[in-house]
Amino acid sequence: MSDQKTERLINLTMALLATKRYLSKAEIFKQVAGYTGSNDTKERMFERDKDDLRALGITIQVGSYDPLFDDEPGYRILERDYELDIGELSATELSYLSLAATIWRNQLFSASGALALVKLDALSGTALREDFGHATLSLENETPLFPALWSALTETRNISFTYRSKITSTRHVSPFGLTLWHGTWYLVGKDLEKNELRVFRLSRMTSEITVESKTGAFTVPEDFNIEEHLIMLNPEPLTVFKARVRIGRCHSLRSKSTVTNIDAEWDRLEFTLGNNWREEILWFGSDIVLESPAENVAEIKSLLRSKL
Amino acid sequence: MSETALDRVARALNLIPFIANNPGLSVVEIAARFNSTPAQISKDLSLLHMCGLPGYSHLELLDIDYEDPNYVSVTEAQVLDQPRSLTQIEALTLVLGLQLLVELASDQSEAAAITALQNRLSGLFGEQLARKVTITDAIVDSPIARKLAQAIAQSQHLTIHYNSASSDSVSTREIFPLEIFYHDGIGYLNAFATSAGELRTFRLDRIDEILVGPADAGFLERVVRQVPNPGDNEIEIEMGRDGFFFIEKHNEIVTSFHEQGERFRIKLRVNSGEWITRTLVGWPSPIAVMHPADLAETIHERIAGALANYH
Repeated sequence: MSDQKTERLINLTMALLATKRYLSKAEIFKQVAGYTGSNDTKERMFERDKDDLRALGITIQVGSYDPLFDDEPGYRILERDYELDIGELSATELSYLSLAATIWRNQLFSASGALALVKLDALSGTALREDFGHATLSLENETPLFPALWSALTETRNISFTYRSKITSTRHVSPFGLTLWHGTWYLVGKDLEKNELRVFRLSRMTSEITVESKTGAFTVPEDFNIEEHLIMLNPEPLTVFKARVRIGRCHSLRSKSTVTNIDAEWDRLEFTLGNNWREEILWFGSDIVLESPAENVAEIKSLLRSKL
Repeated sequence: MSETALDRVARALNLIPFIANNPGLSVVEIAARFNSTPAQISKDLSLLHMCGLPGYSHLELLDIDYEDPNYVSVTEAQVLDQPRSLTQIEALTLVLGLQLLVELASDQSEAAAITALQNRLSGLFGEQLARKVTITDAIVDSPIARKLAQAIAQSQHLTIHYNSASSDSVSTREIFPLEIFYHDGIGYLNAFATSAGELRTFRLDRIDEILVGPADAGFLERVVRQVPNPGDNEIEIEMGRDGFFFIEKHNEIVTSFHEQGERFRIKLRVNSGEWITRTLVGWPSPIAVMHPADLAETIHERIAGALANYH
């Protein structure tokens, strides 16, 4: 990494911010420190520098620097594009924002939260405030694919990825939205092969995200609502169970059951469970004997046999 | 990881307004805030010292005072006195963070204030931000989580009634709450169990009742930080293709895994024998315990005992 390049990019940013009118390339080469060599070299340098600043999220306005001769473009950075402007913030609002920035323990969000906080502190000059105690929330493990999905989403590009489900396959998708549900990130999008909305769990994507189209490849329907789709596509069937459980055992199950006593050793419980009923029942080992529904009893018996 | 010239430019452009508006921090403090090293920050500052506006005389250059590493200030920030606007991901982080805070708000008016701020922020970044990325259900929407969050914020001791799943018993515990976290859709509390003198993890939905005790701001440093980590046990298991889902669900205890054809071999580190026993008995497909032998035996007995109930 070269100090010269870093220095030149900072100088260029400052010069383009300070100017009140568009600067031509010739003016930039003459005035901004760091542009040396032949004209061709400077041209190439400047083209790369512009791309680099844009990659940093800095918007460079291109316009005519001379209203009479508009054949040569000029460049400048507008304050309103460059600077943070959230309007007036009360001390309380600022502390909410700071909390929002630091609540994450997930790598991606805690890193971008730390950067946001540095900017907020530059805005308010409160970097030395007392450390506030608060609850931190760590969500799922890591979400390395999030930035790629996020840009595909905002740029409306179709993507593909390898997805691990009952079988592993490549999915081609128009990404409509991302959502955090039960502490886990999901992508909702149109599966281009099945031509249907599908939900994908980010942790089950096992490849990089491949971009498959230019921007504007699809339009998200006006009435699209992530929450509704997620809930609609994931109905959880609930089943009513009856079981015998030993007295003084299966506490977490008892709290959601109606309990009737059988004898000195057993109670009878009636309760409702969803998709994870197998795990819930097996957790209690020999302290529970499932009685109905009959097909679930049969499944538990064969499951126990297979695990023996 | 080696850093690019661009990473450095990004940090440098953030450093100037940060220091200009927070004079008097040390290089070490600044490095901590920028997730960097003091040596790197010193290098950045001496580089920035050479930058400025066209003309580049002392009138146009940035003027940074870093001679005393304990007191850094910017006397002339030129055009860099204001922070850069938030990137999309930074804004998103704040918007989603605020959405989580709404759930933890202590009352209706606080929730309303946070929601208003959230709307204002997402408004600045276009409607798409709020529409395209959301938090679907109130993952922390429980009165228990709210009470715990408050207790953590105020460093309060608590007495809880807890339904322990691994020992299958209800008991009263004295705890000092440390952190709420969510894994695979389930909320947990990390806390210091005062009577046991150990760090423990509790499931939020198994906490029945909370009694608030005295506040003790120094407890964390004085007691909790002094406790060594419990010795973990290494366990090795082998299972079929749903091993992927086992890893996904329990990734916080998985130390390594191998996938061979249709089989997964997984190494785990756990500190509760009863918890792992029940988890392996409860997994809805066969799992072979390769190590340790006594765990394999316990699990076999447990399954045999459960099956015997049905004869």
